Amino acid sequence: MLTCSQCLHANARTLKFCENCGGSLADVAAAERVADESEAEFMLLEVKKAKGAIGLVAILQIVFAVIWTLTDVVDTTGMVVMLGLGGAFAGLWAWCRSNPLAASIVALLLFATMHLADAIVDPSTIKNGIILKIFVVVVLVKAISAGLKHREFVRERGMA
Amino acid sequence: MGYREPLSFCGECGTAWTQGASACGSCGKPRVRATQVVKTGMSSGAGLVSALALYFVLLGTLLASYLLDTADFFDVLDSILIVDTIVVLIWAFVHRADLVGPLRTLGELRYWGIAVAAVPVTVAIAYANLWAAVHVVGTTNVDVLQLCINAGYSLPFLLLTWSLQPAVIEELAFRGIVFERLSAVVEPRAAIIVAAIAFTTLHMAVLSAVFLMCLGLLAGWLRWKSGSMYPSIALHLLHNAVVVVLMWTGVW
Repeated sequence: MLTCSQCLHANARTLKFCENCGGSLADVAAAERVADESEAEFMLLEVKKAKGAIGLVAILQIVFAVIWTLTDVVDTTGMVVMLGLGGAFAGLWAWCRSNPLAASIVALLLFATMHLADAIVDPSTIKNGIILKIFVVVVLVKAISAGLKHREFVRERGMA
Repeated sequence: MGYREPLSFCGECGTAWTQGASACGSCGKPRVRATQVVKTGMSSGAGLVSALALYFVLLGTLLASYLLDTADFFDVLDSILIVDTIVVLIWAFVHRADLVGPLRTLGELRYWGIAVAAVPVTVAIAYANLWAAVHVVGTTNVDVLQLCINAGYSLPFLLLTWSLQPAVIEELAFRGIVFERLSAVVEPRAAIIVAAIAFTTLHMAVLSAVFLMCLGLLAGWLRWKSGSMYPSIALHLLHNAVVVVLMWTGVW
């Protein structure tokens, strides 16, 4: 709503002049746009919170790949798989800067898939780091939901 | 924002309304504003959740098959094939509004050309990828397709289950439902990448991830550029068919 500065009539967002008094709405619209942009920026920060969780997963994957290879817990194939996943999360971490919503969707798919697969192959792995797993999933789901809200807001307000 | 009676001044140009006129005398704006068009179809949030649910249901069928290790391996394989086909067709029915357009478009001829011309390249990438997995990483390669060939399945049956079914059903799922729902929330380029990664991870084969990713990206690009499902289906169908025939004849 664009509130006319002269008569306080509430006008639709698309209008250029007040329908009640005929005064220009250009200044009100400009102020509204600035407010919208800062609100959108703020909403995007919520989405970018996924970055920390994704970075953490990347670091843990790579660190455990090295430790488990040195202590012979995994073979070369296992190491390549773990490093590949670590690299993928590192890539997603970088992607978060330009497209946090897409990166969060991919991170959730990848994270859930690898842990579900682990759980099926060896059910004893479910409890390993369960708090961390739940934390990562919650952060990613919240980021995706914030990303959808941001997207809806931007579209509604007609911002690029 | 519903219907509202316009007031004393035109909101477009600021001129006072002439009594009884149906449009603004200065800029021609109609006096009665049309009510906002009601959005049809599912919301972008619900659509994304539905697409993610499809991914996890397909993943679930695959993971459930690992738990059935006491059953006959080839029975399990056939069951997944049938269950996944039914699952994707159910989702396709729910998302039919998304799929009608791309299924009614044939796409420009050059995208068909690119799809066909890319097949030798994708097969070569697949070969190099699997060669590296065996010889560089040193994995003991258990190729399910090879097992099926050794089990004595006939070539037409292998082409049906390894080429036609995956091409139609996987493309319908990833380049149809998943791509369409993702492009409602992110830009097309990002949607192609996300759909390709989902396609790759669902195969549960980290060591073949490189060629699956290439195939997924190319199929997504074809779907985006051509606006049709068919070039990507052709690419997937031919790629798988060539691999099946090469393995069948023992060239691979």
